[in-house]
Amino acid sequence: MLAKKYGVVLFALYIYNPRHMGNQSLHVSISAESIFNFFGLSITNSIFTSLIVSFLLISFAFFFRSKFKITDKPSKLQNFVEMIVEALYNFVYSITENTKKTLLFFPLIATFFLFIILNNYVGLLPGVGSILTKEESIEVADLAPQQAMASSSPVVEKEVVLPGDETVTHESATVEEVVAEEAGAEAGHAKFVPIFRAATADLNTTLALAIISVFLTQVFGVSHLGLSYFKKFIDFSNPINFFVGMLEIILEFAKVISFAFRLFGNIFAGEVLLAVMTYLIAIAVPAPFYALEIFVGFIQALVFSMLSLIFFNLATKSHHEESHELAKN
Amino acid sequence: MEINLAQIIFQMINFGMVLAALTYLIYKPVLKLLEDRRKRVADAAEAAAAVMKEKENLEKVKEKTLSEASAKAKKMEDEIRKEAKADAKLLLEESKSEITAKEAKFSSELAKLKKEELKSMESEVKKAALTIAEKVLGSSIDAKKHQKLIDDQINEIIESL
Repeated sequence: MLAKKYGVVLFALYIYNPRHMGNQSLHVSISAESIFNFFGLSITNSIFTSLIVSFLLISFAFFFRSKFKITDKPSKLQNFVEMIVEALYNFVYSITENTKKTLLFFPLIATFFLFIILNNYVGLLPGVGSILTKEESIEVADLAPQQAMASSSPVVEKEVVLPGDETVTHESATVEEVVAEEAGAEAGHAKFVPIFRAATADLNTTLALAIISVFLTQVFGVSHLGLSYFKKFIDFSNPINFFVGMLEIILEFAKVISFAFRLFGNIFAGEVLLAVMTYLIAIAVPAPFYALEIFVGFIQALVFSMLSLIFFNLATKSHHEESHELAKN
Repeated sequence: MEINLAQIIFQMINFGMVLAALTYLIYKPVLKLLEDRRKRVADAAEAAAAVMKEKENLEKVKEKTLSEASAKAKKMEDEIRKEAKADAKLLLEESKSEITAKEAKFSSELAKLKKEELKSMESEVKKAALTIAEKVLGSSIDAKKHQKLIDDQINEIIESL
C-alpha cells in the first residue's frame, strides 16, 4: 500500500518534470536579454521588470499620498507605511546617532532597501523567467563587420545541438558559415527569452546602484568635511600615509565592484538554484529553496543598505572624530 | 555578461525617480507626522512629569500637614489628659474633703442624736423603773432610793450596749 502511494508520488513528480513534458531546455542566461528597443536603447527584460517595480512603487506612493491623513488613528495602510518608515528611520539613526545625518541619509537608504528588496522578490514570482517573448532581433547590417573579420579565418570549431538530444558535437566549418548561421538564427529565426527578469539579477542594475552609493559617499564626504575629505586619498605627509591614500582610492573602486557583484551574485545564484531545482523536480522540492531565497532577498537588501549607510556615515566623520570614537569605545 | 553604460545610466535615472517620488510622497509627510507625534508625546510626557512632580509636592505638603496636625492633636490630647487628670485629682480631693466633712458632720449629729436618745431613754427608763419598782414593792419609793435604782439600771443598759 505504502509502496503504491510512493509510486503514485514518484510518477507525479516524473510527469511534472519539465524534461518529460516536452520542454527540453533549461534557460539560464548570465546577462539580461533584450526584448525591445526604445529610441535606440535596448530594453532588457531586467530593465523592463525594474520599470514595472518602479512604476508600482511610484503608483503606491501617489495612492498613499492621496489617502494620507494627519491623525492619531491612522488607517491600516497608513499604519503599515508608518511602521516601515519608522523602522527604517530608527535603523538609520542607530548607525548615525545624529538626527541631522539621519534625515539626510534616510531617504536614500530606505529607497535602496525598498527598491532592492522588491526587485529581489519580483524574481520569485511565478511567471518571472518562464513567460517568454521573442528576443529583439539583431540588424543584419550590424553583423557586416563580423563578416568582414571572418574572411581572414577559414576554419573554426562549430557547436551543434541535435534536436531531442542534449549532446553537443563539434563540426569544422568556415567562419563565414558560422557567422551566416548566427545571423540567420538571430535575424531570421526567432529566439525566445523571458519577458521578466529580476533587476538585481542583472549586473548593470547592481552596478548602477553601487555607483550611486559610492558616488554619494564622496558627495556626503565633501559636503561635510570640505576639501579636507580628499586628504584621506592624497596625503604627502609621509610615505606610509601616501601609500594608505593610494589604498583608499583603490578601496573606493573595490566598493563598487563588491557592492555590485555581491548583490548580483546572490540574486542570480538564487534564480539559477530555483530554476535547476524546479527543472529537476517541480513539486514540493523547490519550496524550501523559495523560502531560502525570500530570506536571501531580505538579507541582501539589508546588507546593501547597511553598508551604504556605514560608508556615508564614515565619510562624514573627520579623522579626529573617528579616533575619538574609537577611544570612547 | 556585458556591461552596458546606457543601461547603467537608465537604471540610475530609474532609481532617482523612485527616490524622488518616495521622498516627496511618503518619507517627508510620514516623517513630519512621526516627528509631530513624537513631540506631542514628549510634551504630554513632560506635562505628565510636571503633574507627577506637583502630585509629589502635594503629597509632601499633605504628609507635612498631617504630621503637624497629628503632633498638634497629640499635644492637645496630652494637655487635655493632663488637665483632666488635674481636674479629676481636684475633684477627688474635693470629694474626699466633702466626704470627710460630711462624715464629721454625720458623726457629730449621730453623737448628738445618740446623746439625746440616751437622755430620752434615760427618762423613760427612769419612769418605767419607778413604775415597776412601785408595783413590786407595793409602796412608793423615796427619791433617794429611786435615784439609786435608776442609776443601777442605766449602768446595766449602758454596759449591755
